[in-house]
Amino acid sequence: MANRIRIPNPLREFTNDNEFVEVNAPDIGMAITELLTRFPEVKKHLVNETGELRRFVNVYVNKEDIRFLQNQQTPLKDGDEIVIIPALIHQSSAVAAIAVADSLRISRGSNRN
Amino acid sequence: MDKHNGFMKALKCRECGREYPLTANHVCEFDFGPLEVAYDYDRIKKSLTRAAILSRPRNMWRYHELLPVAGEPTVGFAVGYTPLVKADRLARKLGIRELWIKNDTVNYPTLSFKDRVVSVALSRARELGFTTVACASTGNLANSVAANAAASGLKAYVFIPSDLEQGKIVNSLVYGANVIGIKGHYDEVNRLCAEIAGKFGWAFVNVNMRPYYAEGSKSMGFEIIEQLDWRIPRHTVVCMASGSLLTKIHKSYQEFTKLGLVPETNFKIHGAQATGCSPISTAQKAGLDFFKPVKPNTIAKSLAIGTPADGFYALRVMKETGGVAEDVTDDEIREGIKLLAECEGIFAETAGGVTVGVAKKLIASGKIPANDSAVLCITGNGLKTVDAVAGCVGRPREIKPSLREFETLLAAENLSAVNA
Repeated sequence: MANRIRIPNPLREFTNDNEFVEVNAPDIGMAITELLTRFPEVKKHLVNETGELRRFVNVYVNKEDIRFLQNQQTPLKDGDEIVIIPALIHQSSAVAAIAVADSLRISRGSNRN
Repeated sequence: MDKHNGFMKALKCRECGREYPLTANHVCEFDFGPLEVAYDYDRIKKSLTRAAILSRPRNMWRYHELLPVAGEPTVGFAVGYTPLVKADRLARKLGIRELWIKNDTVNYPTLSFKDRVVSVALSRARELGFTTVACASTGNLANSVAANAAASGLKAYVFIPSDLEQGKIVNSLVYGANVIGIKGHYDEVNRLCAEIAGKFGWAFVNVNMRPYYAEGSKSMGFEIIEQLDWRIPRHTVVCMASGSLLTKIHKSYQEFTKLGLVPETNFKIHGAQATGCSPISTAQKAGLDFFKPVKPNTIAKSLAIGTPADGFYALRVMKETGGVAEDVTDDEIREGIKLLAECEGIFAETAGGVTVGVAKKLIASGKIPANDSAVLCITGNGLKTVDAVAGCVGRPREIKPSLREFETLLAAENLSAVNA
């Protein structure tokens, strides 16, 4: 179950300057847990004291905001891309996520063909 | 307390409360929450009394202690103090006891409420040493930045969706601003501007200057209270694009209460959107505290923000005050524009049609009770969006310059009126 998480610019200093982090997880919650285990400095910026994602941190799986899927229980399939975007730095987070997802879908589609 | 910063104390994260210096900055680096200006209310209370306000010139700066500039404002001396019109004819039409129109269609100089936020943002930008100002805009903000920058000798770059109404494009170009049309909708313009703001050292009024800029909207609420003879209206209907205006009207009512300028009272703030771009009203009606971003498709282009920056806080204000949100179709927007024009002689742009249309629905459904009182915030002028209603207001009847032709026309119309 290989997936990758796109890290937003302000947090890349905590992921060894990596834009993408590869994870192996069955759902979003586990994927984020794996990210935070490997890069603990990211944790305080991404989740609050009770472990919930911070309000102005948006997470998308492909096209969709996870709040409209099953939140942290959203299942992942192989190749799904997770995008983390601070809402106010790129206010058009959904648009960005949709663009990323669309480009992935196109490339995946052409791979299958 | 730093005298150099006027009545401001710091920029403060709305989420975690961390404080930052009063620079051009809008995001908390810890949790990415929005920054807001924190004030020294104890000092303000000593300075901002009813008597002090009444002694000052009739513009938005009569409440300057609650607006985030450190010294004297240098941009927009004549902005604000627009009429609050008692709308008896519209009230009868909508079936409510008392109705008021806060008429920012005649705000100075660019005929929308945006002159309020821009005069604050540009005054503060000058204090911080900027010489170039910029914005991402659905039109009205671009007009205001262009005009106020011209009047104060600042260089301006305004970024707009390229398919905006012609009136709004010309109204930016005429001031000599650099107008950049982006082939995309507002949310894409906004994203580009976030990147440009990060790269160029400009004061983007609604990006890095947003904490100051947004506060300018409070002046609309201060004026409503003062013009109602120091009373907070029971119901206020506000159109929502980013949702910022609604949250700042709320804040203005809270601040005047906190300062003892008005007694504590219950009030409800209602939000209005176009059905073709209704992320906030959809969430409010579903009882959610977050919204789903949308791709806008509405004639109300000034409200066409699919990813509203203050959507969360707007939802919270409605929940806390017991207000509700509603949305209206393009046809209902046109009908709202005509209702306001025909009943009150006020020609609002499409956003005003949204507000009137939503008020009509809320009164009809009893969410605003018929025996109550309401204020509608009308934010922009219809002359900028004439195309939106050009097809539904009829055409002039043409005759030759002859009295006989006119009498014939009148007789024919009277006859058809009788027959009808």
